[in-house]
Amino acid sequence: MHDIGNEAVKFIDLNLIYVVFLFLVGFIGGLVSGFIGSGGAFVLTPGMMSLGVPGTVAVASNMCHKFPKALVGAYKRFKYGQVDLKLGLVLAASAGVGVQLGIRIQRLILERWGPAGSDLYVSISFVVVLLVVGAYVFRDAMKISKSGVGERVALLARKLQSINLWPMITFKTANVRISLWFTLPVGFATGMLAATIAVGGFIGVPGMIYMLGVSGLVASASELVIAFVMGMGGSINWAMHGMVDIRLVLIILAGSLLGVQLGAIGTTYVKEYMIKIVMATIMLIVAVSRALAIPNYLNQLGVISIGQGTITVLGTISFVSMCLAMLVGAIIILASMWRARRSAYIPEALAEAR
Amino acid sequence: MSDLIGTNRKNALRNGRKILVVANKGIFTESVINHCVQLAGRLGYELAALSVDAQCEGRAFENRSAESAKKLCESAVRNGLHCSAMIRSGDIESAVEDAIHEIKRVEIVVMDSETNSESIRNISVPVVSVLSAFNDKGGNAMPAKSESSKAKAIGKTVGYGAASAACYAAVFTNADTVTQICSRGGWYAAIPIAAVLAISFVHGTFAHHLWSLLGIEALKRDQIRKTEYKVIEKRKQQRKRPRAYAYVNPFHRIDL
Repeated sequence: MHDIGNEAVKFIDLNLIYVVFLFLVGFIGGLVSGFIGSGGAFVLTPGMMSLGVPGTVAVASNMCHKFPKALVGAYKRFKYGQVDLKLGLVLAASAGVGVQLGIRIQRLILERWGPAGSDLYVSISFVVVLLVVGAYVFRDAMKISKSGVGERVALLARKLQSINLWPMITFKTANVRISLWFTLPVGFATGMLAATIAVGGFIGVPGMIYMLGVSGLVASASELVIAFVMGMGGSINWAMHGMVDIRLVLIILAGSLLGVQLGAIGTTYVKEYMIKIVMATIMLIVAVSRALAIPNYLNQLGVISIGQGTITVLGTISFVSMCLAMLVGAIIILASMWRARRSAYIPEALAEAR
Repeated sequence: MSDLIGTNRKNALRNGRKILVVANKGIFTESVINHCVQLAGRLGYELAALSVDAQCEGRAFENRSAESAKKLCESAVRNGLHCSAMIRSGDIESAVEDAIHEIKRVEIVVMDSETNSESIRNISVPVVSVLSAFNDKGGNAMPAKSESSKAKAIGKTVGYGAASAACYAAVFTNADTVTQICSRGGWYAAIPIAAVLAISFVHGTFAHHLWSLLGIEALKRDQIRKTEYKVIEKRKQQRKRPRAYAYVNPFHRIDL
């Protein structure tokens, strides 16, 4: 094991502004994660890097804060009866395989095209996956919101559930009986995406909803189990390489443990389609943010040629819009919680009659 | 209290339509008070408060229920409504039925959702169940109990907060040493993993108590559903009854 703990370049000096920044980002990230199951941490890696933290340490510290946060969120939502532990563990197992393949693909690209190629691949994956899935989730959420009827099991999920292919698994909390074979691609894709863009939930949660027929509430809660299992594995790996900056992890955790519980509580107040709306909004804004980063990587690869000034401006807009995605998500969550709380003591049927 | 009951007895015999408000263990929660006062104001009904001493607690129950009934009556008076109060002992269901027959023209019974559903199964008048509080302890429902549980909650929050602060202080006063040990890799990896798990327990519990203390707690959807089912079940049962009764749709538009 290479001991790089004493290398001066590795750990930054912390000042009050950095601490407050990390705490706040941790809190907002936690809030979003507790609500939609994941997607609260993607700002942290670039955020830490902007403070001068080396990339690997930022990734390692981010992952190390993610799994205890997911643990607390999952526990909280388990108490609300939203977590399907079996579903989470089954998907986490196949996600582990997806992560391994994702890392291999990343390595191949890195060897072939260098860091710029790898970054381009990550950004394109971000844009394609988030645009396609985000737009679909957004459309579905809007449809439910307008029609006023509750969530319906997607057609694909109904068809897959009707195929009686051994071994069939029953997920009690999710109220789904489906063949194991159909859960594998969802878990696998979650792992692949987690290894590529560090937020597997952007495909895991929609996968559970539209392929397996799980409700948005249970899907986002069970995603926390997957995030815990994968995050724990990844954190142990990074910690064994001595890449975790415990100070950063603890500061982020201070905020995110507060946020994740608030997000989890929020799920009990709002209508189920709100989870889809928040997730889709964040996904679409992040897709735009990453699309703005693509010209820089294309420039580095020599495909196009643009000025340094333009690259800097695009980079800044990209980072700001990423932060904006989180903020918008957090505002939607808090606003809908606030609205729901105001009429909460009236039985729902009365509230709906308003 | 006896004065209050005495004066209100006269009101009880008034001829206006009434909403019978039944206390849960002698207490009318803020939610129940608000709901029935608003409802009565809109419908032009009067209020009749009923406390049933099901556990035969005696004096303690009377004092508690008198204080709570006073709150309800005061709130009703502020809104220009007549309010009567009475105390009964024994079975809730028979006490409610007796009250309905005694004071006449009771159109709706408003109850706390915390009231045992078994004890109000066969009441002959439509029952509106009001979700009383978000917390397990009954929220504002029981001032005495609430105060002690609030003190406990504050104690726990402060305790876990102090423990969490101590953990953070321990790490950050020796930040360099801790960071170096945690970044040695190999078997030393167990230290950061154990540290974050320990923090997630201590700080996570602190966060839980902090949100509870601030009144931000999970909404019990099941409780609401239970209330809805209860109302629906009641409607079904009442449809079978041959006698005429005033039907009040509990789902009608109410702005509070």
